[in-house]
Amino acid sequence: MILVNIDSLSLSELRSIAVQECIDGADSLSREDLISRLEEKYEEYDQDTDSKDPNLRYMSGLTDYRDISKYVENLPGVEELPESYPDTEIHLIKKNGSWLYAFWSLSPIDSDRLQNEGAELVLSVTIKNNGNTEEYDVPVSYLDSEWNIGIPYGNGYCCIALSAVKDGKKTQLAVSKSEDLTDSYWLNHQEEMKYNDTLYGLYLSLVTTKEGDIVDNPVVREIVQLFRKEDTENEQA
Amino acid sequence: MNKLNLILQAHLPYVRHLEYPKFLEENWLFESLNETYIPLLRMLEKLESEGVDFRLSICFSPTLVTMLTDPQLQERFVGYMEERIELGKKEKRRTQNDEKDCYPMALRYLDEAEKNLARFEELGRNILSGYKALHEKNRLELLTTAATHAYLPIYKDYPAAVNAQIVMGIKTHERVFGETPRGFWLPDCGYYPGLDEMLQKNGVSWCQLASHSVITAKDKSIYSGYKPVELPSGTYGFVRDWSITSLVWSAVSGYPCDGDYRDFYRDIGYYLPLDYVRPYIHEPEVRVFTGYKYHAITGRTEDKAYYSYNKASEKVALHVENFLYNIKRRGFSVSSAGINNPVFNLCFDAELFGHRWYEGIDFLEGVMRKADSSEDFVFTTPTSVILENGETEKLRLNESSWGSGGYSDIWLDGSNAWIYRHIFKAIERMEELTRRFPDQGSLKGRFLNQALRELLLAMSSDWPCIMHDGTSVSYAEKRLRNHLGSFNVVYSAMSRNTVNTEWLINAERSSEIFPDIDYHLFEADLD
Repeated sequence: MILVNIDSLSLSELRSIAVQECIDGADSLSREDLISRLEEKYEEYDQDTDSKDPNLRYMSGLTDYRDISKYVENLPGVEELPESYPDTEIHLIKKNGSWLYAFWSLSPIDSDRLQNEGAELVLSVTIKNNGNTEEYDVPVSYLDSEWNIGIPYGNGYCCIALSAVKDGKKTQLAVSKSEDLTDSYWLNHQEEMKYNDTLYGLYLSLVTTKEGDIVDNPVVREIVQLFRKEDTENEQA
Repeated sequence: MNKLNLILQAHLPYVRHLEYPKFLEENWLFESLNETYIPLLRMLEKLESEGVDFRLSICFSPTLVTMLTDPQLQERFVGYMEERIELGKKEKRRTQNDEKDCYPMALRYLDEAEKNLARFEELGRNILSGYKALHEKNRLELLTTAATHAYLPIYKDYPAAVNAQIVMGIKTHERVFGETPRGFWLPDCGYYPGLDEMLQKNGVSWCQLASHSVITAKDKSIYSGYKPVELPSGTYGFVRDWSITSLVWSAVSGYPCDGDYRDFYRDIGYYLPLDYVRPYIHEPEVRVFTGYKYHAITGRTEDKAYYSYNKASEKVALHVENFLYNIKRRGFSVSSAGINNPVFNLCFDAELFGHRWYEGIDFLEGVMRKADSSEDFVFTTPTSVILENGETEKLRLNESSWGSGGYSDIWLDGSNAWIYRHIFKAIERMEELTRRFPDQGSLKGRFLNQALRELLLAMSSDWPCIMHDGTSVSYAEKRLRNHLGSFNVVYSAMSRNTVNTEWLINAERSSEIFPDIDYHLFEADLD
């Protein structure tokens, strides 16, 4: 499992993930401690952040002219954007094969009404994967407006709803469009791998540097590990 | 025979601030013109005149072609070049007495600047006419990309917005080059299932794909990316060869990292006395690149050796040999696996060659000459490969990109996720405006067109990319806020059924892009 860019997570999200990962005292740890504990948990994360992106775009190589603070005020006028919009809605964007990013807004009218009623907010997550359905709620506060959701690989989709819960009754406020899960042939056909050595060699040749580094992609890494496992088992047999 | 599809992407965000006598970020265009686009054209023209048989595919993004054909930016580029030439003459004198090791390169830079400016003027200041001429000689395939190089997977819930990016990309290409492009460069190789169908409906034959898209596909690939992929819509995908491109592109071991090559960062604009360089940097005292760079990369040290062009040229020859050797060796192993005449798709940012990697254009020239004299290689173009009706395979792919991690992490992280709340809302409001005002001509039509123009500019992938990379963040953020703010001006006014005429005229003047834009684009029923 690959951790989403950890610095971008809120304290609530970090605590929620830490609980899922069975980290002791997750509720009382500071943000920094949570980050540190989660980074330890996901060693792959450290490796990822150490490696430079070979595809840095041209823009990255430009001199950082504008971040010389004393000249920033000379820039053209800047429009103010509203902090929020007067609609109750929720959106879901695929960040990568393992994480979705959700953001939402609550109209001032809905927000006032629900808070006066003492309702609590939850994100209702639905994941349909290979014919199975997983549903769970994530409690969120009225101050939250974004969340990262872990997803599995498979043939299916995920969608989320923003709901209000009062007296055990859940009312849907907004629902996102669905996002497909990453569905890879080779993750679903491990049994075929032992018969496809040549093909594996071809695949690898396209995504491996002369130093043996494999392209930075978690699904590729997983497929490669599975092929290697098959290789090892074949040799042992 | 190994078929080589070399595909370059030339793109810069739309930067044009005529309200200032000089504007720092316009240097992105000027540096790229002087160091990549003109020298690359001159090199290709030389190959053509010498009868070297080469093929190359180039995508000029709609924002870039707009700037390259903008008379005022062309005029400003001439001013930029005149300053480089003036500085070159000063450098020639200085290095005769001081830093004598730099003298040969001072002469070289001066000579290159004079030749580049001369070619620019010969072409009527429109270098695209030179590229078009090579295209007409069947040397180049020219393709387009999304209107403002938006990273499309993030907008897949808004087909009207994605379609507008595709249509305006194609329209701009047609206006500038006089024909419909067959190829469409997916910005940052960003693909999602269904995108190919939108491309196909707009007449696009092919696009390029990320290298890992085949091994991770929903279907079993037999050709592993060495033959074109037929996507569900019938559009062809050409899979980038990460292994071969990494020989150049790797930030750790790529050829441009060689110690004998010229260092990109050590520029006299940053280390010579202010009094000397002041006329060539930004007022009042913002040091910037001047293009006069005299040191070699040397190694991981601050103590850089002086650059030797001859030494670097020897290294270029070695790297050309090595590059083709690696392709040939791979070709053997791919052929022995039963795939004959494999296609290698080599995709790069154009600005890598010449600008970032000073010797890069010499490298490309060497590769093309060497390949022409060998029976092991043939340079081709994706459209030629398609027209040969050779082997292809149908595949369903997952969402993918060439960004770090292979998905959308670069354009959607803690530094930039906030922008989508505003951009999505603007897209929804554009859809609303189009529904509410279906038949507006004249002034209101122009007002709505301006709203769409601002929205497309806000969708540019450059802004979140710059925020992610931490370069020029203030500028990117301010540009984004201004485009969205301008969109909101139209939305608010149209909500009251009014037009702010003075604002509209100023807005149209400041963004002279997409003159043929039509807000009815958002009417299309694409779901």
